[in-house]
Amino acid sequence: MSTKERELKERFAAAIDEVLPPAPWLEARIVDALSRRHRRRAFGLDTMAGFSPGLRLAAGLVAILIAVATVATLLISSHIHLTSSPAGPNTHLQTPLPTPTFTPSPAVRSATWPPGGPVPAPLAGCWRPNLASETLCLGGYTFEFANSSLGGNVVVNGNEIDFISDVCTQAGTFGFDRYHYTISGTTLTLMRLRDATTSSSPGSGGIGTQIGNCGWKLEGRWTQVSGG
Amino acid sequence: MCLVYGSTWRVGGKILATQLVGERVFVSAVVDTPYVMSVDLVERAQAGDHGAFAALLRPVISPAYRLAGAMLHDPHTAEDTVQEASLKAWRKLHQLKVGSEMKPWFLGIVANECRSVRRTRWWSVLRLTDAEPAREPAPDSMTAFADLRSAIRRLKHRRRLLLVLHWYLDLPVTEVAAITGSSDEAVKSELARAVHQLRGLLGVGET
Repeated sequence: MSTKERELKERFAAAIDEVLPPAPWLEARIVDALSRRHRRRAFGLDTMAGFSPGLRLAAGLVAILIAVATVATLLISSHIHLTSSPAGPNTHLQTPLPTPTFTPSPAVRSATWPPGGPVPAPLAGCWRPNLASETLCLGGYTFEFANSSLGGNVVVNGNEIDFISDVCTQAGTFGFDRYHYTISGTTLTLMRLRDATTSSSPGSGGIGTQIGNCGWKLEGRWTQVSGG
Repeated sequence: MCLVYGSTWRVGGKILATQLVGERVFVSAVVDTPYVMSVDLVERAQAGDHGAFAALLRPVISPAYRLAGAMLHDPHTAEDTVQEASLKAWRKLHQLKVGSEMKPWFLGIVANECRSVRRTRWWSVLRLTDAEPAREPAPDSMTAFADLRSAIRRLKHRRRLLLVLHWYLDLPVTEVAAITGSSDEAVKSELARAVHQLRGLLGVGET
């Protein structure tokens, strides 16, 4: 291993260690979870073993009735609570969410991606859907979800944007999902191109048939929270 | 020393298994004690001995957590993933061959679980329409290795897995190959490609 590779290896380990605290309790937690599961099973089998099939059926029916009654009580009480609460603004939704910071990765366009260029200026930055807390950040040839470790590459071709990630396909090759986008003021609208054909797929790449394979739901309106 | 035919004797860290063939006594095997104990534990665990399974699992939880953490970059999800993998391992224990090692088998389950989590998280994150309390912004961008982590996240699952196993868990190529179900040569060439891609993503030269 060369010196540079050894350095990269050390940095690789340090980069992971920085976000991965030790979890000395995990061993006990898992062993405990397994024992509880084991005991629960053993207990369930032992207690039911002495009953006749008829009694077991009756016990099951009683359990179902209790569950239904509990759910009904909860629904009724929540309904009463809602109707008796004074109308007012929903403070939870109005809680300002932190503005994410995003540094696009210095990715270089790969020949296997669909045709297109990097994210244009009006599209660059971070976007948040109206109700969810997750934030989509776009820049260069990359995208990332600010609150999670999820990310990948993007290419923009006119009003089409392709999200590329290896999570889209089992085969290990990259797949992508294609959306049509429009920007109006600070609102980004994404519409998935379900019927996209391979006409604009790459000539040399092997991913042209993977459209719509990711199962994502990016469709909808997103509000800009920070510019690129 | 008096050997009893068909018995096993512990000498230091080794075990001597004896066998009577005709009128001669043969030492049929000299094996490491941990190996015999592990074989014994696997058989007992497969017979439903929960304690034996816990004894097999304990030494591999720490590397499993490090693997999941390195793959997912989220300690809480890594803990849950290892716990889920442990339950799956208990259910699939019959698939572990007596005499084979627990560690590569279990790390393989963890690696598959990480892949599933990544897929599921895509789905669940993007399906979220109920307002959920926002998490604190990740301090990623302020830390020294943010660029490197970002590059690692952009590697394909398999390449990321190979680098994590070989570079982060310091496992030899042979063990990486056992975990991923590949040949040593395939692991070596894929590792070289992974390093090359990582360098490209970081904008670092080859030399």
